[in-house]
Amino acid sequence: MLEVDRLTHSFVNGGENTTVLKNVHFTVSQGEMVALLGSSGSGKSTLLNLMAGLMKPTEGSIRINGQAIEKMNENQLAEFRRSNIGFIFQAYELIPQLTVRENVELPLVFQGIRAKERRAKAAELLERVGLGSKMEMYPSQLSGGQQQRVSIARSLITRPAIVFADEPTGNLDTKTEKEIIDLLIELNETLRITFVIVTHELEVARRTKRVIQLRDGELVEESGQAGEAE
Amino acid sequence: MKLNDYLRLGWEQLRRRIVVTMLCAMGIAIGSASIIVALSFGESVNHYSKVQMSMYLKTDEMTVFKGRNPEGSDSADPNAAKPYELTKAKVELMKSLPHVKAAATYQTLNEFEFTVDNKRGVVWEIIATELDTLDDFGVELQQGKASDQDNAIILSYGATMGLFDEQMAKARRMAAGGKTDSDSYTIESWQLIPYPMYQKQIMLTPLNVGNGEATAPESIPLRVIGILKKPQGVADDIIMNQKTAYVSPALGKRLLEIQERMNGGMQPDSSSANSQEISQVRLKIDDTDNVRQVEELVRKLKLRPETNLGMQERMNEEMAIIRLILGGAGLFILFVASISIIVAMTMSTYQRRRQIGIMKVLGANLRQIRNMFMIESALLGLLGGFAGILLSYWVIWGINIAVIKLSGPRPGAQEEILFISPWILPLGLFFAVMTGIVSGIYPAVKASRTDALTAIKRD
Repeated sequence: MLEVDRLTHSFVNGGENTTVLKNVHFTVSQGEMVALLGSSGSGKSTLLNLMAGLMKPTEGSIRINGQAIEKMNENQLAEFRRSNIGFIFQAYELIPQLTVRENVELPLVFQGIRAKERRAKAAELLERVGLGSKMEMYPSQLSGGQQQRVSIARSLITRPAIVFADEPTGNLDTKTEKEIIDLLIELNETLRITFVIVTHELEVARRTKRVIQLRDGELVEESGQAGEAE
Repeated sequence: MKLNDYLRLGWEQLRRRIVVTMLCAMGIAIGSASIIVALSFGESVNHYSKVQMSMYLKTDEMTVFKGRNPEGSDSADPNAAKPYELTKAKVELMKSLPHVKAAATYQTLNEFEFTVDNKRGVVWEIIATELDTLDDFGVELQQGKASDQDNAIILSYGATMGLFDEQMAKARRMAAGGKTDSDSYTIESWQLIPYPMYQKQIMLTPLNVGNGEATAPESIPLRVIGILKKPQGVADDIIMNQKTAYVSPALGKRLLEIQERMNGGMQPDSSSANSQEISQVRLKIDDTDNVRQVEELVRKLKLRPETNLGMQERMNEEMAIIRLILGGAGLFILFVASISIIVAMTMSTYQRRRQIGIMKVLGANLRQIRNMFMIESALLGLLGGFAGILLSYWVIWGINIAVIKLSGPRPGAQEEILFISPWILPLGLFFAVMTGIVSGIYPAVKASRTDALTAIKRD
């Protein structure tokens, strides 16, 4: 499903060449839930951006469902992301002037799906994340945890092959953090959607089935359990 | 992405930034209103001029005079051939020319006064022509109909207005505070009142022109067999000065003879050089576009045609220049307004960089982002356009009120001086939307080129 093959990424900073990722290599299977664990500056966010096609790697290749995304141009990447990739952001990134339902529908709007169909799909997913009664509310009327649930519903609306979650609990309290991770695990198990969760929190990583740990741009450990990775 | 979705997203954005939206729309509104007002002004002036021209300078008519003698003066021999003369045969020939609807001899006699029921009135101009052709020349009667009977006259509506009654005038002056006879002239309400003259007998007398040895006034009794329709949309104080009348050519000849006798044989008017000759012929052409063609044919008869086409063309050119100047001013205002849209939309692009980045991450491509901004600015233009239409109606209404207030009440005058033709509204709207679209191009392209990663990164 996801193949990261000898990935190296570097950039020139103040005339000095800085390598952020060094020969990173791993694969993720369909339906897996993987945590990408690392401290600040370990290169985990760069790796996420490369996997999402938001950056081009210096060397190596990234394949999602067999397609090398580093070879795609901007429009091809937009098309690819639209159908194959879901995103969950740390700060939720909902459009404030759209309602909860409209926010969830947005990726389908870019796909040109009819309003009726969009509405039905959004309603179904919002029910699933426990926000069926708040569909016509605006993001500003919701709590942080509820907004992240909306973000999760939005990431799943296109039934993507893989969902990248960038510090999904970074802005939440411990109780809500647990609820969100529980929800992600439940969705992973029931919908068989692949999740890659980028986090610096060990507690979050520990809840996933597999942890890939990065340190100074290198993959230092990969394990089936977060505890093992530590 | 569907058009509905573009429109909905664009509308939401405009609604959210209501102050910026209103300021930008106001700029466009002023610009498009300027264009609408400018075009309406041109259109109204054009319309007004056309009405005036059709009233005074009928462009589908032609006046034919005798041709000019190439030798400079008439031959001494009265029996010599005069191919440039206007003869009855030539009038008949002109009647049969293609596109000629009607032809009538035409002679004008100036300044007559008449009495009826102890009242006095004047006719500034009497036209001697075949009365049965009046209808062909678009002269419409309010009462009666043209007939060939002798001693018959058809009066214009204005000729029936403001008849002077000495007894009544004295009574009015007394009622007005005992003021003595005054020469000061003001339009009083009684001067605008028409007097029922249809089928009445009047005594027509030529006014003494004051030259030569004047003899005693000579009157001729005539029956009023028709009254012309009151001109529409013309103020009563203008109509009351349009004192004209129509008589048959035979009666015209008699009136001319009386006039000549009263003036001691002197010629009162140059247009009636010789009572035995046809001085002018009027032709009615089926369409203004065919006037030139008929003009050429008339020239071939060695006659001299005169039309008002040249005047109309000059007037049209002047109107085009006025419209161009006013339209240009409107376009300039729209240009200034478009700068405000570019600034507002570019600012919006910066403010919404993060949102654009999120949309790109969620799968929006370059075209979709660009279209979103373009449609948003087009909507801004549309809002401005609608506001511009409202504004232009207020401006036109204000100008009309101001003009009416300044010129004072004029009974019978057209209430609407400036008007907005329906075809101008979509044009104003089109300019407004185009301003929105053109101004939106740069911000839209800039927005579509926003780097998603840079946009979503948080400091």
